Amino acid sequence: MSEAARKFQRDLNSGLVALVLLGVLAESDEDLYGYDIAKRLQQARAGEPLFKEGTIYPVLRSLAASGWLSSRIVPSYSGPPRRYYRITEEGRVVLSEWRAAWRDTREFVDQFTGASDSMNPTPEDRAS
Amino acid sequence: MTVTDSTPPRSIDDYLKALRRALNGADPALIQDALSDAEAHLRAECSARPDQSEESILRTITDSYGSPEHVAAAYLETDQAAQKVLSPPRVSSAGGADNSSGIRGRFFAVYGDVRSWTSLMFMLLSLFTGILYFTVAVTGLTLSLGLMILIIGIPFFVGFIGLTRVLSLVEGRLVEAMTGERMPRRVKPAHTGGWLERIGAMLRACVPGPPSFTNFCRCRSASFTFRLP
Repeated sequence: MSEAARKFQRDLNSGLVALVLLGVLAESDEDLYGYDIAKRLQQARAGEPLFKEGTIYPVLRSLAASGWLSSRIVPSYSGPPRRYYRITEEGRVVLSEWRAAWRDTREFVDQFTGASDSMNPTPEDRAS
Repeated sequence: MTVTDSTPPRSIDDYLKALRRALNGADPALIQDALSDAEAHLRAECSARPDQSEESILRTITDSYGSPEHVAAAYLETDQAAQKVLSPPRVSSAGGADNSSGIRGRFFAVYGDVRSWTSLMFMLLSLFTGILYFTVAVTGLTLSLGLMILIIGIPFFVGFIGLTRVLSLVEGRLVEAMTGERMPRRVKPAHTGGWLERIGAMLRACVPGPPSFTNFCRCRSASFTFRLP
């Protein structure tokens, strides 16, 4: 990946990481800790990861500070204690808003960049 | 970029040191958060891949976890964003005084703020906690000095220092809970070493025990417990 592409990816990630984290925690029935989440995200993608695992931790903390996640600390026998996260009701409300915003953004952007044009009709196709 | 970029960290401690350097000058609580997150992740990574050495895992860690500089930048960015959200003063809805109601409303808003009352409770409570801390400190110091003549004085002193650490942790949590002021996090010592190493780290002195002996009395407890055999 070129340096320009990397920088673009970083800019994209600034809001999307939070959305993905809320999504992962909303899908999960049990509480998850940071390492667990990082590995789930890694498994979901075969190629080079879109963001470094280290960048999800500050986002988790800021989501918790905003009251969208609750966290508890559980001592672990293999190392430092683990901080388990769970999505709050407030977090679910925020997630549904963000999801709608993301859907709109994606549709809008796709119209101009011709993303996955083999799968979706372009605006011209749709018009005809 | 600094020269340290070119030399990837070889051990978890190296990585944490580099991260601390990269965060130099940031809020102490933020540094503690970043260090404990990184340490928890790296140790989990090492225990998930027991067949590989720490050094070989650390070689790949900049690709997966990110370089110390990269991770530090992420914390600094996120913290600025979080502070912007959290900075407006909280006025509880029960107080009913919003900012728009002029100078009087803003002046009396403090009575509607729950934090005012919990802070007041904290100050009243500090009479009792203060007496307790003072008593413990004076008793501990005099007894460990007095007993130093006998050999019991040394373990007693070590125990006393351990107790003061527990008390300061309790006090920090109390301040946090009652005043909302965030205290710096203490990074949990993830020492797999024995009690001698733990005491050594605690007293900020190097008291390395013989490896076989430290392995023998390895403390497996990860929570903050202070144990003497």
